[in-house]
Amino acid sequence: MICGLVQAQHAGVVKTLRGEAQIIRSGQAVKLELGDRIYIADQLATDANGSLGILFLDDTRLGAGPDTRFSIDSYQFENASQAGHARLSVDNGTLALVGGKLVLGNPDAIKVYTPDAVLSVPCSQLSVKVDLPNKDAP
Amino acid sequence: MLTNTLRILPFFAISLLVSGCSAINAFGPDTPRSEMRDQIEAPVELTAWPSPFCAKPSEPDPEMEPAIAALPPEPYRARLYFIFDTSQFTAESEAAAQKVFDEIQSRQIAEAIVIGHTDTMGSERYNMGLSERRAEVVRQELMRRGIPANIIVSRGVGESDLLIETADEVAEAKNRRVEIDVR
Repeated sequence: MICGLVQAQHAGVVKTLRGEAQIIRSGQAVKLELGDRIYIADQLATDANGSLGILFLDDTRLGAGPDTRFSIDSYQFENASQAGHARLSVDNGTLALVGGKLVLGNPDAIKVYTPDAVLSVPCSQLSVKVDLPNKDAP
Repeated sequence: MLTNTLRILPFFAISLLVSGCSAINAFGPDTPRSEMRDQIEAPVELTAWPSPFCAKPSEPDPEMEPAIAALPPEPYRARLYFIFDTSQFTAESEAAAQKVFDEIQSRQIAEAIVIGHTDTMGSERYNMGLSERRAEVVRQELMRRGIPANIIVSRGVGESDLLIETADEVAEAKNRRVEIDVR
């Protein structure tokens, strides 16, 4: 019951959803619904016809296309100072990102890790595409 | 002897500088114009390009379209103003309330965060109540237009978060407001 003691702050909310998408939290996959809160360490996956959009607390916006798998590695946003950082990683698929308040003070506040690059999210749109190689998942 | 050396020193320094530059400033039969001159004379346009942090993606990629289409709409923020010591909208705010309604309707799933504020006239305690009444008026108005109650969060913060910083006991129309964050 350790989870019950930690009142984790959410990072964002699922605001758009088409087709099917799953959230993998603590090793369990659950069907994603509109309005679901997204937490640090959540892994998200869309189906072949699915897409989803997340609005983060700092107004950063994320859109994920079909067959996309990504995770929220870290997220921190303090409303008073408007400062913090976010780290996302994409294993496969397409992501569109538009930086919010986090990137206004620090253009490197939001980073997206792909298998072979690290990208900073600008306040205009960033498009990320990762093609899955023959993956030998551990 | 020493003074001679001192006299030569500046020339030596200059010749070092010139020879140092010549590496990037080479011009001769192959390069009839000096690269450095071109650089210096090139027009400097500071505003011709958008901010480097906001560079636009160059070519549209059809594979990216579903991801771009899935981007949630930008949050919409509105301020509604009130007539002094009342929880009645000003005329402009009556129209703004309709825009808020439309923004909520256009989203797949929306939340409206409604926060009431007052100016510094009156006691803090009275203003806390007034700001809560103002937020409640907006909440009722949104519900009257058909927005479900469960997506509206409303609260009052009294005179604790002034838009225009004033001393205590100052009537300031811009502080008598409700801020709505549609997201």
